[in-house]
Amino acid sequence: MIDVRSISYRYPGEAGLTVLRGVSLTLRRGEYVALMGANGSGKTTLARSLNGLIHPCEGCVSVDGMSASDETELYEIRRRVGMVFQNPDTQIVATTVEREIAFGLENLGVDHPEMVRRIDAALARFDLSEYRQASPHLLSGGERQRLALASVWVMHPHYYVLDEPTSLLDPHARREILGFLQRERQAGDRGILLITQFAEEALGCDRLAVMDAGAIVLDGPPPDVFRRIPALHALGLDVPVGIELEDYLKEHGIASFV
Amino acid sequence: MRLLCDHVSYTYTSLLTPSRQALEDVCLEINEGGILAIVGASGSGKTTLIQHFNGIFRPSAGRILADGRDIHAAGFDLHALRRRLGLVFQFPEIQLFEETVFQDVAFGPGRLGIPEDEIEGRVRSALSCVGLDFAMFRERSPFGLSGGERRRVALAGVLAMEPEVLVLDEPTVGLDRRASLKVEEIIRGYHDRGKTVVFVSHNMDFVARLADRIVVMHHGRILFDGGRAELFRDEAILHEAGLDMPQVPRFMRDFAKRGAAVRTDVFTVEEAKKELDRYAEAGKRDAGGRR
Ligand SMILES: Nc1ncnc2c1ncn2[C@@H]1O[C@H](COP(=O)(O)OP(=O)(O)OP(=O)(O)O)[C@@H](O)[C@H]1O
Ligand SMILES: [Mg+2]
Repeated sequence: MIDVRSISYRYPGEAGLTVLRGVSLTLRRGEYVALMGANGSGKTTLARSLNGLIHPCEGCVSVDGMSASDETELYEIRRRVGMVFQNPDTQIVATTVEREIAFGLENLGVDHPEMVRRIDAALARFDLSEYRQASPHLLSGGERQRLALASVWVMHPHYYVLDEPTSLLDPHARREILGFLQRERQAGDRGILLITQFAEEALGCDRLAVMDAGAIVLDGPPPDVFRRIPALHALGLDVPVGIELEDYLKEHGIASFV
Repeated sequence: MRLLCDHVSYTYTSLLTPSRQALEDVCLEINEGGILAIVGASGSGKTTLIQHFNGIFRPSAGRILADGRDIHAAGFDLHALRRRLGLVFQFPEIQLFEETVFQDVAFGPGRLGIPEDEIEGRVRSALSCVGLDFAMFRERSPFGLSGGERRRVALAGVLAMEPEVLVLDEPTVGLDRRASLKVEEIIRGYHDRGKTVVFVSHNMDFVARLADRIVVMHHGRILFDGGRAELFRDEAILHEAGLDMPQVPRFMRDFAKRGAAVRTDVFTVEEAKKELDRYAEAGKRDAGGRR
């Protein structure tokens, strides 16, 4: 389980604002949690604390019982918590698509035949086979996002922390990725934290947490959270159109057979 | 400004990968004053196409005409064109490089030779257009901003140049609801002043709310060019191009399937509510008449 206990954080520097204020959150294996919030509300900062990229000023983060502030545990924590960043370019390091996917595996010490097997499977699964030898920087935005996810998938993480991983995907690819995440959660028993601006994407999750100005202000099953339409709009968030209009029908007593 | 793509083809050539034809015989006329959305699957050529509009790419075959003049002809002033046509890239944050948000947004107008005393006003109004507080953000470093904040700054940088034609590649990616509504306002504002906006987007809800014309790209070609009602009625084309039905008409269609006589060609939540009201009223009248 990833366990975040009342953490606070301020970025260093004199202009440093407090961007996390007593945030608590849990993510279990097999659980799929969506995180929504306005721009600047602290989602990415929270995600970065989950595998020790930043260390909270107060409170603590633990992953399967290991403290994310303990430098000696960081290697194991990062193996278990796979991260996909908001801008895929910030995590792409290799000169070809194939090597990018191999990069993390080499560090894990996976043997060669297994490595080849996993890379082939990743290229096929994320529809990147034709770009095997291409430079990642020649890929389109959506292709780069798929590459970032492929590179994390081959590591077999226990948890995925995904910062707006579908923002550049076309509708078809988006559906594919969301389906993939559901399968990882169910069959693979992975825990998934999905940061998104797309309300519809949160509908398929077990829980939806909403951030505002560095704090989690709502946390519950998506249908319950989405029922609070005016509150969500005030927080700068969208509600799935289907829910908003169903709600309108109910409120105004409109039925399909009048 | 009128833009014309006249049988444009473009092939990417690179030493590492086999060359790839990204555009094939694209003909597109963009007249003043409309809101044009370009949609299609990843890799269908959308970004390549709009990067032809201001001469970043040069067609392998065919011509790009601005007000009737070939933009790659000898003597054509490409810099003047770029001043009139503002393009916001898909990853606009890579365009940020100054020390403060103010300097970044002021950079474009400065290069246009806008007088110093006018620049601050432009920066102010551009930041307010994208929903960033001037006092709070002016001195911040663009590198210490969140993803959505950075995108807004990049967009403000182009708005501050007050281009005649605005071309946006995926303008709502990473933006929250409030910021997306701001972008809608910006686009509508352009339209109300009789100017042209072209944008690329995967977000069909956004496209359906705004565009009066939609071009669907598919494998480098134009598969469809027409109005939104026509497109979102055509399930075969949507399927072929890998596109989704927007949420509002999808809801209305499902509601109609449940037996309600409602229109399905509505694209905003507000329009949908009005249509549902109309339907409920009609129902009451019928019931009253029968009694
Ligand atoms: N490196 C940094 N230095 C200083 N402040 C930062 C830094 N990165 C982010 N911030 C600030 O911290 C706050 C939270 O940022 P964060 O990136 O966590 O937001 P977010 O919820 O992910 O937003 P978005 O939806 O725009 O991605 C914002 O006010 C942002 O300006
Ligand atoms: Mg973020």
